[in-house]
Amino acid sequence: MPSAGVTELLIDWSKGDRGALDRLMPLVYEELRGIARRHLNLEAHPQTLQSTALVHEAYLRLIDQNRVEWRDRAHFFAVSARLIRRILLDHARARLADKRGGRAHRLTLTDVAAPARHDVDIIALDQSLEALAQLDSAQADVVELRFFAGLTIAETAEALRISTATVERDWITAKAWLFDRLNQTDRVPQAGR
Amino acid sequence: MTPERWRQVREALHGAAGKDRAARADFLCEICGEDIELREEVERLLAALDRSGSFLEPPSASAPKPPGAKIGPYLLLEQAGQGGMGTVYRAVREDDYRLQVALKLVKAESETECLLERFRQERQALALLNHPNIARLLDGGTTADGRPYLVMEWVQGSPITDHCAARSASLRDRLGLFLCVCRAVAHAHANLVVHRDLKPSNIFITEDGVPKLLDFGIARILSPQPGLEAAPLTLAGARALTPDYASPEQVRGEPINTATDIYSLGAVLYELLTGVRPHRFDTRTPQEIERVVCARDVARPSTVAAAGGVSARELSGDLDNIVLKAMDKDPARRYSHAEAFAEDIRRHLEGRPVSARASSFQYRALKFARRNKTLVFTSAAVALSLAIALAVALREARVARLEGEVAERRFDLARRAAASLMYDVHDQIQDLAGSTKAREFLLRKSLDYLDALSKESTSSPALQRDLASAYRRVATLQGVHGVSNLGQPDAARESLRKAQGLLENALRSSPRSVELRRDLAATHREFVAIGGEPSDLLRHAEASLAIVETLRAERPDDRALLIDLHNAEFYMGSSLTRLGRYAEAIVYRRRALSHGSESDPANLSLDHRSLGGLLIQAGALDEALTEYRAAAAIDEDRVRREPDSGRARLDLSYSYADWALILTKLNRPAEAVGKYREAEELRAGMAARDPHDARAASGLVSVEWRMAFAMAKAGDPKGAEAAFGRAVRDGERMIATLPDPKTGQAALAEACWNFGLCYKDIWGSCSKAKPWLSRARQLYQELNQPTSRVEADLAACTSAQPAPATPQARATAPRPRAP
Repeated sequence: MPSAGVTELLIDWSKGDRGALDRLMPLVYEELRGIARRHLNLEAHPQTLQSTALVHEAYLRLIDQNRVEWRDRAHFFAVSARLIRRILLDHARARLADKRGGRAHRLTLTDVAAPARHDVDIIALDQSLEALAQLDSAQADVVELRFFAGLTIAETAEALRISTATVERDWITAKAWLFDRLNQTDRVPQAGR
Repeated sequence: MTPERWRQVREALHGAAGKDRAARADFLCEICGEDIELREEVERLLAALDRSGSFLEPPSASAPKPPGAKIGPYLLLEQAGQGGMGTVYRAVREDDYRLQVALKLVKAESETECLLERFRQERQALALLNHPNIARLLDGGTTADGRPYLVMEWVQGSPITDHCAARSASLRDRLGLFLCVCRAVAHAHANLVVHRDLKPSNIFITEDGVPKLLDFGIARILSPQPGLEAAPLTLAGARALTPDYASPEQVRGEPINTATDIYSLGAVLYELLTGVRPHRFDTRTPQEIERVVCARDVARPSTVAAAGGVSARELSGDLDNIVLKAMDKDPARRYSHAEAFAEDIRRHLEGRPVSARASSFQYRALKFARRNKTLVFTSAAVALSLAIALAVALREARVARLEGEVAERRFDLARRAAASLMYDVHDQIQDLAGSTKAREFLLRKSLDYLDALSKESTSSPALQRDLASAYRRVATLQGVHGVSNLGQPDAARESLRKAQGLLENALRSSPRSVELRRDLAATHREFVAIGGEPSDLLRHAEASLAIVETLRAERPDDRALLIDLHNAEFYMGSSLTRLGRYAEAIVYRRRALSHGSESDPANLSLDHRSLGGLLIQAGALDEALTEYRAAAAIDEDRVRREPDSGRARLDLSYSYADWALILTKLNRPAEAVGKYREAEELRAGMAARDPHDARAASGLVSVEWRMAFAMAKAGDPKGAEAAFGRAVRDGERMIATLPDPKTGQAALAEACWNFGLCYKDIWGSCSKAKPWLSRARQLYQELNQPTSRVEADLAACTSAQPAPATPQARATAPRPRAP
C-alpha cells in the first residue's frame, strides 16, 4: 500500500526541499523497524538477513513506483541506510545485553551453518565507521550506503552527488582500512620483533 | 592518523590497488620515497584489501532482486528461476505493463564488456530466429551496478517432460510435440545458430500446447572463449552445462556444432519417452561425468521405460534406434540435421522404414533431404569462420608466448579445431553429391593449420596422427578409386607416403598404440585403392593384413578389428587380381565376405561385385551373376534409404553395369541394354551434379560405350552409334574440365578403341574402324601405356579382307575390354 504522502515527500526532498526529509525520516524509520523486527526475530546474524532486503521491502511499501525515478530511489535508500544502521546496532546491543544477562539466546540455523560471507560484528563496524568518519566523512558515507542499503556504485554516486570514480576510490580504500582494523586482533604477532 | 596523513595513504593505496605485484612495488617506491612509515601503512592496507574478498560488499550482486526492483526500463515481478548463468525474473516494461518478459540477470560481473560485445554481435543472428516455436530475444543491457541482463519473450507454460507427464500424453502426442521442437531447431541451425543447452527446462509447452524453445543463442553469448570468439562453432568453455543432456564433445570441451544439439534433442526425447534421464551419475565430479557421458553406453529406452513414459513395447525397435542414433557418441554418426531426425520420427509414425538401424557401423546419417545446398553452404561458412578463429588462436599463441599449461591447452584447442574441420565438417559432406571442391578446400585448410601447428610445437603423437589423417583424407580426395575424387593419383600417392611417414614416426615413440597401428594398416590399404605398380600394391596389402592379424591376435573381441580384417582381405584380393593371380584373389575375396558381418552395406556390395568380377575371369558366369544380383539388391536398398547419397547411387550404377556385362557375356544383349540404361541414367545424374567428380565422369563414359556394344549386338546400330557418340563426347569433356587429364584420356581411349572394335568386328567396316583405333593408340601413347593390342587390331584391319560394309551385318563376338 504505497503511500502518496511518502512518495510526495521523497520527490520534494529529491528536488532539494530539506524540510521534506525531516518529515520523511520518521515514516521510513517506522516502516523499517517493523520489517526488521519481523526478520530479526528469525535471524541471528544481521548481515545474513540482508539489510538491503529490508530497504527494498520498505521502499515497495512506502513509495509509489510509478511516480519516482531511479534517482529518487537512490535518495530513499540513502535515507534508509542511516536508519538501518541504527536499527541493526540497537538489535546487536540488545542481544549482547541478553547474553550477558544470562537470558537464553535463541539458536537458529544460521548460527550453526557457516555463513558464506564475512561475518561482520555490527558493533565493531559501527565504531570503526565512526573512526573513519573522523578521518574522511565522505568515505564513511560511501560505506554506509553500500553496506547498509546495498546501493550500487552508480546509485551511491547519485545519492552523494559525486562521481562514480570517486565512489570507487573511496570504497576500495575504506574497505581496506576497515578490514585491516576489524581483523587486527586475528593477526599473529611476528616473532623476534 | 590525521586526515591529512590519511589522504596521503588513500592516494597511494588507490594508486597501487589497481596494479599487479611487480608494478605495485615500483609505484610505491616512487610515491612514498623515503617515507618508510607511509609505505608500510599502504602495504598493510594492500594486504588487507587482497584478503578482504566480499567483505562489506553489498549482497545485491549475487542475491536475488526482490519484486519491485527495476532493471533498465523493466520492473521485476517475481523470480522465475535460477540457473548456472544467472537468475530469471518475470518482468514488465514500465511503459507497457501488458508486455511481460523474461529477464535474465547474468552472474558474471567482470565479463560485462565482452558479454555486451558478444550480445551486439549475436543480435543480428538472433533477430533472424523469427520462428513461432522459438522464444525471441528482445533486448539486453546493463543494470545500474553494471551487471548485464538479457530480455526474452515470456513464455507461460511448463517443461515438455512435465507437460506430458501431467497429462499422461500418448506416444503420438509426445512425438508430435517433439517434431515441432525439431522443426524449430532446424530453423535455428539453418540460420547458423546452435542452442548448445537444449534440455526440458528450455523446451516449454505453453498452456495452449505450443512448444517454445527458450534461450536460443544465449549460451553462445554467455560462454566466454577469448580468441575464438569469432567462430560460430563456439567451444564449450565454462562447461556450465547440464550433464544429463550434454554431448560427449561438450563434456570434453571440444568444438560444438549442430550435431551437439542433435545429441541433446536425443537425450530429451529419451526422457520424454521413458520418464527417466539417459545417464545415471554416481557422483557429479567432472571425471565421473566425462566417464559416463563419453564412455558408458546408454541403455536402450525400451529397457528402462518407467511410469512417466511410454510402454516398453511401443519403444523397442524403431524408437530405440532413433533415440540411440541421435545420441551416438560419435557426432558423425548422429542425424546430420534436425530435419533428418524429424523425418525418421515421421516415418515411424507413418509406419515406414526408418533410417536409424541398430549396429550400422559407418555413419550413414546423410539425409540432407531438401536442404542439400543450404547445408553445403552452411558447412563451408562454418569452416571458413573456424579457419579465421584458428588463425587468431595461432597468432595469439605466438604473440603472447604463452607458457606451460596455458600454451598446451591453447595448442590442444587449436589442434582439435583444425581436426574438426576434417572430421566433422569434411566427413559430413563427403557423401554429398557436388561437394568435391568444397571438400578440397576444407582439407587444404585443415592441412595448412595442422602443418603450422606442427611447426609451433614439438610434434606429439596425437598431432602426428591428426596430420596423417589429414593427408589420408586429402589422398582419398585426390584419387582413391571408389570414392568421388579429383583424379590426381600421383598426388594422392605422395600424400599417402607423407601419412605413412608420420604414422611410422609416431609409432616409434608409442609402438603399442592400437589406433596408430590401425591407421597405418588403413593407409597401406589406401595405397592399394589408389592403384599403381601391381607388385607394390601387393606389398602394401600384405603389410596391412599383417598388422591387422597381429592386432586381432592381441584383441580377439574387438569388433572394429573385424572390419579392418575384412578390408585387409578385400585389398589382398584386389592386388592379387591386378597380378592376374585370380584363384588366390577369389580365396581372399570369399574370406573377406565371411568376415563382413560388421561391415557397412556399401562395402558388402563392393565385395559381391568384385567377387563377381573374379568369377567372370574364372569363367564361372552363373556364379558371377548371383554375386551381381546380391550387390544390386544391397545398393537398391541403400539408394532408397539415402536418396541423396552420391556414393550409394554410384555403387548401384556399378552393380547394374556389371550385371549387364554378364548378361552380354551370356549372350542376352537385349536384357543387358536395359540394365545399362539404368546405370547410365544414374551416372549421368551424378556427373551433372558434380562436374569435378572424375569417378562419376569416367563411369559414365564406360557405361556408355558398353551399352553401345550391347545395342550393336542386339541389332540396334542407330542406338549404338548414338551411345558411342555420347561416350566420346563425355570423354573429351573430362579431359577439358578435370585438373589431371590422365583419367579423361584413359576413359576416352577405351571408348575410341571399342568404337573401332565395334565397326571392325560387328559391322565389318575397317575404314570406319581405323580412325577410332588410331585415336585410341595415340591416347595410350600419351598415357605411356602399352599399345600392342590396339596395334594388333589396327594391323588386323589393314591386312584383313574387306568385310561386309553394312553395319547391320553381324560378325564375331565383341571384345569389350574388362576393366
